[in-house]
Amino acid sequence: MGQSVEIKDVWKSFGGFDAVRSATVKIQAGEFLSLLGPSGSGKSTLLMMVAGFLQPTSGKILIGDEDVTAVPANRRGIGMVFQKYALFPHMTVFENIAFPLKMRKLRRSEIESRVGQALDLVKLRDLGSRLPIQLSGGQQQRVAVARALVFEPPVLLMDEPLGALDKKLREEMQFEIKNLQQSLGVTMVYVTHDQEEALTMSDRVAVMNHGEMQQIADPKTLYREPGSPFVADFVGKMNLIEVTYVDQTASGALLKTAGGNRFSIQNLAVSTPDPERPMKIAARPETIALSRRNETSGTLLEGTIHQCVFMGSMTMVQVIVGPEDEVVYVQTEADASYKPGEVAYLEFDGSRTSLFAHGPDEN
Amino acid sequence: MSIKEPHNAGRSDSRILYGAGMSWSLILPWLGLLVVGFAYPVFKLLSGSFFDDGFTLVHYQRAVTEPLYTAVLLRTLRIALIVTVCALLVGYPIAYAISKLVRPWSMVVAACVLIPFWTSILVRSYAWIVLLQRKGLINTLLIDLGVTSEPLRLLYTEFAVILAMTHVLLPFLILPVYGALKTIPADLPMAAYNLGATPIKVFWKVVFPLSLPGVFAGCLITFILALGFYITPALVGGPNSLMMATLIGQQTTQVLNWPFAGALATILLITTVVLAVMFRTLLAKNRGFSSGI
Ligand SMILES: Nc1ncnc2c1ncn2[C@@H]1O[C@H](COP(=O)(O)OP(=O)(O)O)[C@@H](O)[C@H]1O
Ligand SMILES: [Mg+2]
Repeated sequence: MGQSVEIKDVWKSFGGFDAVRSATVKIQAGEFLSLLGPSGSGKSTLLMMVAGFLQPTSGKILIGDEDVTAVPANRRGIGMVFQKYALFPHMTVFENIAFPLKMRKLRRSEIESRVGQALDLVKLRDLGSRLPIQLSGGQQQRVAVARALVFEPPVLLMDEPLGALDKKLREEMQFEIKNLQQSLGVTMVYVTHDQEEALTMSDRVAVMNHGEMQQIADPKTLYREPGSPFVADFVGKMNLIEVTYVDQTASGALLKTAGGNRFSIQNLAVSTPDPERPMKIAARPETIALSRRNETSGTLLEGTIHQCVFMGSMTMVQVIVGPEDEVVYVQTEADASYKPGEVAYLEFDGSRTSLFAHGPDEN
Repeated sequence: MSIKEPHNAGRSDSRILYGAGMSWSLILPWLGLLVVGFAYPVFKLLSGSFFDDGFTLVHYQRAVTEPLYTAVLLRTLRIALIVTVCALLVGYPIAYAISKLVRPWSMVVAACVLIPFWTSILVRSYAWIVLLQRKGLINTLLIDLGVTSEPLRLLYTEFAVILAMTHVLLPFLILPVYGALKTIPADLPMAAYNLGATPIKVFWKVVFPLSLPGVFAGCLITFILALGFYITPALVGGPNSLMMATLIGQQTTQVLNWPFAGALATILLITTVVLAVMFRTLLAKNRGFSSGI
């Protein structure tokens, strides 16, 4: 029942300030796409344009094959769940869910059966006669979802719908929303600033920063092959270390940190081996091996243990490299027993480490 | 003026900050002034209506049986009702406009409402005399436009009373309605629109119902003030548009029949209280509003 959504070179400026710049993405019918980015990156603005509340400054929005750029919000037939649910406080749960059906002038009996089904869908069968204020946050959330789905929209939009819930409930709802979306086959555009949420729920994630879509990729690619230092930093825990290229040796690319420490990385792909050019390597804590002695043939990055943080299934070790107190996070097994002040060696995995040219526009 | 706060956090905060002793010592001087300056004279006037060489109901009998006085009471109720309805019809759109307009324009409209509000009622009532008199602005305009050849009799009529009172009381309606409209979260009308409602449906199904607490509060204040209004009806009204407050004023200052004035005042007071209570009961029955928004 889902329909594709196509966003074609959409711009939105507010009096000279570009809140969304050249957003382009085609969301397949039935796909779950997340817009992920820090606060102020233009996620809501883009969603509002898809919903029809804001008119793009330029660009087109298509639903299915139809250009809806000029269609007003009340005739786009898109479901939407607002951040604060936006339930009508003067209507019961039943009346809230019946609202879109009444606006579509459905017969009374039809309305009753569809509202009943929607209530079943979100497991709120017996709460139809309550007012929103008499419900818990999680229940209000479900009513909002039921109201957005009851008229069977081909596209569903959600703007940080779980932001107001506590962690446990949030995880539960993530699971339920994902299940609902899959079983109904509705196309989802989901806004969140929580990278974990985006990774667990989405088919694809579009990472936004300063109004631009930096990368659109499935969660695995996004995590393993971030396209920019910003994406690398924003998605998951990432070590970003400034380096310059020195030479290619038998044990891989030889690099130098800003503090002058040399180290080599096996199998690292260096596209522009230019010693003058500052670069950044990006490595996840779980891809770095930590040891007390260098038992490899290459040069390993030497550091001093700063702190060990036990996190249940593993221990996160903070290692200081170089004179600037740059901290590198390394994930080790849970009962690693490094002491602060100890010297340790970091071994990077070239196939799981990204290298970024240090451009002026990165952040 | 009761503009509804979204969260009334202020009350409990000050209760923590100042103990009961402090609160009472601050309140007592004013309470004393209120008792001596207001409660006692009112009590004296009202109780005086029951005595005339011993307990008697003769003043009430007179007020109820003489057609003049019941006619004035009914006229007062009718005018107050019409004024309230007119104020609502004119005031609601203004309040809505202030809540919807963007920054500089909302301020301009709000100023147009508030500046007259800060001006003395006496001045505003005299302004209506200037406008409505035989050779006033409105008559001159009508004659110049050829609508009428003779100046119309506008001043000292019920029409003049209703017009001037509506104008004078308008801010008392606009402010609570504006307050209620302002507390409606912006995403509610948006959600309604998203769910397929036309802009007109958005207004009648969502915005208007949610502004009702402000509408009720504004109407109640306007109606009660209109029931007891003195200056404006006295200035722009004539003998055929005499209202209760003016009648009571005549009894105290011209006829000097204080016990009878007391009886009329008691009747007006009871009428006001009964209507106010009925109004509140109606409001409380209105689902959802007692539980807040
Ligand atoms: N109506 C508006 N007028 C002016 N600036 C706006 C408006 N709406 C959003 N913005 C600006 O656009 C940027 C993006 O906002 P938004 O889309 O809400 O970000 P996000 O949802 O990612 O946090 C912000 O800098 C915000 O201040
Ligand atoms: Mg937002």
